[in-house]
Amino acid sequence: MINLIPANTTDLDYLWELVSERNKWFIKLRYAAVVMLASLYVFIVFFSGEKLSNIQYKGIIAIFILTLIYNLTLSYIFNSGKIRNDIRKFNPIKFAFLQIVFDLISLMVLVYLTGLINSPFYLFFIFHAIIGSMILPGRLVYGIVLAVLMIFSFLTLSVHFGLIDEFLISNTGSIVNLKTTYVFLNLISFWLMMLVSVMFSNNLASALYKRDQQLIEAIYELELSEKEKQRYVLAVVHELKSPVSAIVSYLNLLIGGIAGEINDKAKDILLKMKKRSEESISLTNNIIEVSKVKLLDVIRKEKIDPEKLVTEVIDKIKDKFSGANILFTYDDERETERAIYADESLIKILFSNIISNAIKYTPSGGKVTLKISDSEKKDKLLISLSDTGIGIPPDEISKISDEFYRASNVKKNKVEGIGLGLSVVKKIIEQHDGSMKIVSPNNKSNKDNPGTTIYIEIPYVG
Amino acid sequence: MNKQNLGKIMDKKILIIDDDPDIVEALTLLLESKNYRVYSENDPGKGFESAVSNKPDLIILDIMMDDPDDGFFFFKKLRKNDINVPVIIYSSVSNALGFDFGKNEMIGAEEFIDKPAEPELLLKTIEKYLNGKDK
Repeated sequence: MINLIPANTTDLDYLWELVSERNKWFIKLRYAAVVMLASLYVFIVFFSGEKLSNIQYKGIIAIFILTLIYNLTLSYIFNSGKIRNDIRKFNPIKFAFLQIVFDLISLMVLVYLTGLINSPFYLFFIFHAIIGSMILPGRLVYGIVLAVLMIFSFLTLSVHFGLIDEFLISNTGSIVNLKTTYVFLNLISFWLMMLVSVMFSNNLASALYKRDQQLIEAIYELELSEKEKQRYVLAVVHELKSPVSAIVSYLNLLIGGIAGEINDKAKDILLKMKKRSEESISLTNNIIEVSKVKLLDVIRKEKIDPEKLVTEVIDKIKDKFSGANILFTYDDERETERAIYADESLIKILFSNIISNAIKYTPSGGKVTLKISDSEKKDKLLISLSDTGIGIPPDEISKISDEFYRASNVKKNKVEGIGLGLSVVKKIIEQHDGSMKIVSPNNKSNKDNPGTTIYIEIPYVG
Repeated sequence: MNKQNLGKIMDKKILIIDDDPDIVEALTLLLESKNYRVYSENDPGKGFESAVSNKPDLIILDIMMDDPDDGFFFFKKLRKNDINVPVIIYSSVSNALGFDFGKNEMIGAEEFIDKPAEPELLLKTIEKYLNGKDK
């Protein structure tokens, strides 16, 4: 059996998605067609003064009902999940094929009942030929179109030569009375129209499809090389870190007097060396973090209780607060306990980043407040972290999450800065369909330490 | 510290496995200054032999070493061979990568310490595991 898959397909999933999308569209379109058929019927019967034969009345109503029924059935099958994205199983392409065959049969009956080459509807065959070309492989479309042409021609000629009954809807001349050459001319031009339509639309569709595939491949390669680059950065950064780690290890020996007593002045210098080396390490750590987040295309999300997660984070980080002499408070103001759908380790990185930032930019004796609550519409978890720190100038808030960017006042206040932290936070929030807002100052009365509040929203489950 | 305790510490053997000779030297100097007996190796293969023959009381292990065997591999091999000595992973990849290497998670080493660590933290952690084993 033919598998109906276009020859140059490289990405099957993409093909299934594309065809499914069109299948859905056809089902909707068919409802419209049924409504049009019904209104046409009403128009012909009640307004046009046409006289239809008994068979025509019943036939058109039968087509109307049957089309409605098979469309409901198709719609049911489409939504039931019985269509599998599998070449060997009942897949979207086979479903599309089924739809087109049904449509052509009912259209053929309608056209026969309304006069064949005299029918106003027979041009709809061209429409179906074009649609078929959009989904089905070329050979199959040609097959279908040839079948349609042959049946149509056979019926027309049979009527012309008086072999079967003729149905007309207007006073158009009977096919029986037409000259045979005229009937042939009519049929030949219909054949040409159909075949040329299929040829053009088929070529167009396959060219478009090929372009699509190339585009997808190009994007994929781009992503791959981006990842490769990040991996390289990761390796380089690790290599950069190693020598500094060794330096700090030796410095620790000297400072600790393990390699022999040193005088205070030398010790002071060694401490400065250590501080600068550690700055370099913390910077490389941040670069690693950014790379890591970018590498994390596959994140493992699961239902997480935010309260539990926040408690764990606080547990780890609370020593830092006492070390920096900052008062830390935490409030849970949620009305109900609901879970978020998140990657636990990423959310922990998020928290440790924003909290570390708050500690870093808040002077000794300051306050940091973490609050979790429901968002305004109650559909999201709202995390807000306020500090009484140096704040962020308004014109720089928009720039703050750019990689490597540090607000200019960070330098002024001589706090070792991490611009990278917030870009990590931003990336993580994006991966969780959340949003972030930074408000600074949050306390205008204090000029030196106006403070900053970060608001983060992450959707609740369900 | 009385003499008895000092004697005990002198008996304690620590094995360092790290491919950076400077890290090994700095660590060795630090630990020897606290009277530990220190063995060291620069690759996990020799490290394993040393773990078997010297029977250390504690191992300090790096993660990212030259292929094919890294620290994780060494650790698994150790446990597979039923050598249940406490292992402190001393590496620059753990926290920096945001991995939460908690106790018994991932590979189940006793402790993860981010490189470079303060000597006090290292010594405190080492003591914790060496004393804990005595009890």
